[in-house]
Amino acid sequence: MQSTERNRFSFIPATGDEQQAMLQKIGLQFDDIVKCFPGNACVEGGLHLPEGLTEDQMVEEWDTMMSRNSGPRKASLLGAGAYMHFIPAVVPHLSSLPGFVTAYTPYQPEISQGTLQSMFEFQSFMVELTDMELANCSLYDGASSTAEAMLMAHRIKKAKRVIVAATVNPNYLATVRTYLEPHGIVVDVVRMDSNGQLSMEDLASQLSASPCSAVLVQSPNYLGIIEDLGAIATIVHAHDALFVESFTEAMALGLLKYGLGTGADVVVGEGQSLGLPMSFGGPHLGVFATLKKYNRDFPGRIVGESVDTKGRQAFVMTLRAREQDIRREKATSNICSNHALNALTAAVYLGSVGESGFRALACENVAKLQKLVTGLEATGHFTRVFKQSPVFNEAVVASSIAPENVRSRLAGLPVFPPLVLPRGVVPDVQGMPHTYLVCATEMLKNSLLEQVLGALS
Amino acid sequence: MTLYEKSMAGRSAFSFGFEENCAAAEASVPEFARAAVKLLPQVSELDLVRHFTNLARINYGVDTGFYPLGSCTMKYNPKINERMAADPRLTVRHPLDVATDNQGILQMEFQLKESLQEITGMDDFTLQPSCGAHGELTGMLIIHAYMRDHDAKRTKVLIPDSAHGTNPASASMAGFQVVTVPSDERGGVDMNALDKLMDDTVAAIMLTNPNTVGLFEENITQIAKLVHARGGLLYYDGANLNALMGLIRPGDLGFDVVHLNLHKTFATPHGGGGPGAAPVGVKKFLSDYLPTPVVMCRDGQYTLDEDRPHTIGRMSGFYGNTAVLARAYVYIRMMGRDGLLAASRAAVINANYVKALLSPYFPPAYDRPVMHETVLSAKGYDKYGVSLLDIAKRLMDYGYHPPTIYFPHFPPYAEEVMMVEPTESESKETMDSFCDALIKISQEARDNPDLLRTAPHDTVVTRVDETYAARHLVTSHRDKKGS
Repeated sequence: MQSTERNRFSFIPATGDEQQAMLQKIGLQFDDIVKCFPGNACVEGGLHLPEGLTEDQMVEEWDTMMSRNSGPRKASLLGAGAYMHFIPAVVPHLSSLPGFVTAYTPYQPEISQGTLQSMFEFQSFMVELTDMELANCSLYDGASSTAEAMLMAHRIKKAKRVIVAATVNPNYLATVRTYLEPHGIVVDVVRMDSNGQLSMEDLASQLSASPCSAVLVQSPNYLGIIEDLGAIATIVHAHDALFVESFTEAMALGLLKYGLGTGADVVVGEGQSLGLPMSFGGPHLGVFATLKKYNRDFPGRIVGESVDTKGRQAFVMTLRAREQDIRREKATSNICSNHALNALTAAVYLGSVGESGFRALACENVAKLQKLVTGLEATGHFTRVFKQSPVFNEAVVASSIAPENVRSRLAGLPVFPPLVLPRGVVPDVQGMPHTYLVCATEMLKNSLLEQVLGALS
Repeated sequence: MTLYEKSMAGRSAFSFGFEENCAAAEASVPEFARAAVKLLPQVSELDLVRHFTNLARINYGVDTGFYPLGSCTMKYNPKINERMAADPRLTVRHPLDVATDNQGILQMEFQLKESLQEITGMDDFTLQPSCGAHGELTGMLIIHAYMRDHDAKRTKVLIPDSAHGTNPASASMAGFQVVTVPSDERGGVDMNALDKLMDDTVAAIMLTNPNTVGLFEENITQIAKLVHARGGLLYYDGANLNALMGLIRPGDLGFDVVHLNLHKTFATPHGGGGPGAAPVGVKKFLSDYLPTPVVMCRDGQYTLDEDRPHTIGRMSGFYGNTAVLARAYVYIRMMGRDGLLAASRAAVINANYVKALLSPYFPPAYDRPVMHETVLSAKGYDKYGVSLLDIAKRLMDYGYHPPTIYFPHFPPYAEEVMMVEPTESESKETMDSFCDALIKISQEARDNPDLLRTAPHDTVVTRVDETYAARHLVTSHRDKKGS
């Protein structure tokens, strides 16, 4: 068909003539189709939005806007739930292949084996890293996964009370509260002891007080300190509650024990460190792993191995009877879309760094933090708080330097300044009234570390 | 073959310049260190590249072909969106960094919020929810908190039988009791039933408009009046907003809370099941209940506002899926006011066109003009021994992704139905060829039903045994090893 006018909108192929031909086949004018709209609600004179941009105009506008962010960053002293790690080039290359990116949820397994097998591989990696028996193919992020774990524990144990360590990331705690509030589930907080860990004494007394469905502990905790998960599990299980282990830094899975090794019933956390950029908060990756005996109770989708009619290996979504499209209001969760593409990214990342690389990276994070803390202490302006407690890649330091001065001294360097902890979170240190949660990863190269220490000296 | 099965001890794709010193790290946490990372695969970089490249090749996506999956709005995902979202000035930003150092991102988010307010007719938005169901939960938690403060006896939520499963699941997760409202013979909400059910224990009604049968809810004005007059609120599930942009706004129809699926209407990719993003919009009286923080603009400075006295709290660790929001922002900016209207217009015309072509072979559930999707029935084909599933599977041999099948389901109007949503992205030629294929298949059903029953034939695997998967539960490599 000959068209006289070029399309105005590059993402809409139909020409005016074609639309006329289609309307002719339909036997209606467009206005006939929408005549059921209540007239008083129709948009008069168009939306108050600007005219569209061409692609080159878009690039320019975007560039102007993004240049309002401060300069490039090569490392981050800021962690607290999002971590800057190295991302091998192969990771975004493979995770942005259009076959993965532009597919929907794999409802039709015959033409979705790519997504399905990738999810199976992701689940396999999560089972190994969390040392659990079953992992779903992702939830949204660490905070919402943690909240889902608490809801699952309530479904299983029924007690309208859960216990949460005060050392859990405050945003996770807030999310848990938001999810549990409408169900009337009480959230009790176990205080922190003088080592920056959850107080075993307080935990024991709270568990004895009244029944509870779950105990939530994060390790490394919000202050970077590794909790004694195994010892906690023993107390928790003695009181017939589920033990939920949470993590915000997936890199720690390369070095520390979780899951069956420490007596967990559920391991949940944030997978952003596994090849995903921080992207100002998302999209990240919710990890959810549990025991097989809870395979009718857990939230989210899971892929299983099966066979096709010719007996060939094939993958398919399974344990579907828990899900919202089948069970509606009785589903284990409302979750439909998850963060599949980020799960795939994590699978590629773990495939890339491999067994020895992942361990080495975890250990390098520990080493880098030690170097940073030692260096800070050597300046005389900083001292580590909770000196005796084991840490991974974050630690609390007290300082005589005020936050605005830390910021201004680091201003010329390509690093995110550390998190300022509000007063009262940790015990006061004489002469050092300011406290920071500092983070170091493999990104903090020695030369940059020297510059950071120089600026803070 | 999985990556594990391709693994070879000693191989590695890892290259990073530090001295490996695990002994010291292990010694610093002696009682907490695990033995070793068990069983991550060991492959070379090329092994890894071939493995995932080949997996991507056996996956069907919008970039591969027509994906008329009803209610999922599989429109084209413009590549400029991907390029902007991969900008390191966005990706290498820490969410807890100070607002003054992130004015560009916050400006983008604020402008996106303003655009969504204009498109929907709502007064305020949170950008925090991660996908549609998460948005629904957020919206229902807002209503739950509002009712707790104002009228605590309202503990029920009305949901039409035609609704997506996420609606009742979300309402239930937000602490409500779900009551189902039947549909009438024209495919809309049964007004008599609504009148009976809408009492002073009902907090809200959740509606998708156009609904899942692709029909505009004709009685929406009366529904809004009735529900509001009796003290309830209206929730709008934005799954099907793609029919309405620039034509009519949920806020003007009387809705109090809306969620939008940016991965549907606003062209961000589905990624094989997320990540998406689902901003939730509210009328002014609910603004204080939004999850914190909320992006604001004061005197030209963009900030993250934590001061919402009645906030429901937080829905996620940070502020939402920024990189997904960025894609939607770019899409809206490029389409502009006329482009968004043209998209909805084209989406509606395309759906009605497919309906017109296919009606003689697969009659529509309701014989009315549809919005952006059409629900067609394959009911008569059982007399050839062919099910809708067989028809859908056969479509794969013709190179198409099947429509949504067996949903919605409410007899006698919608049984054995497929929901076809072409979106505005598809050309007339693509739709013609797709309809030709379905018409051929309808003939094959008569001539050679076995061809359908054993379909698909030309895919990498044939039909997958779901029962086997559930009975022999293998969901990880560890299960395969039986360890």
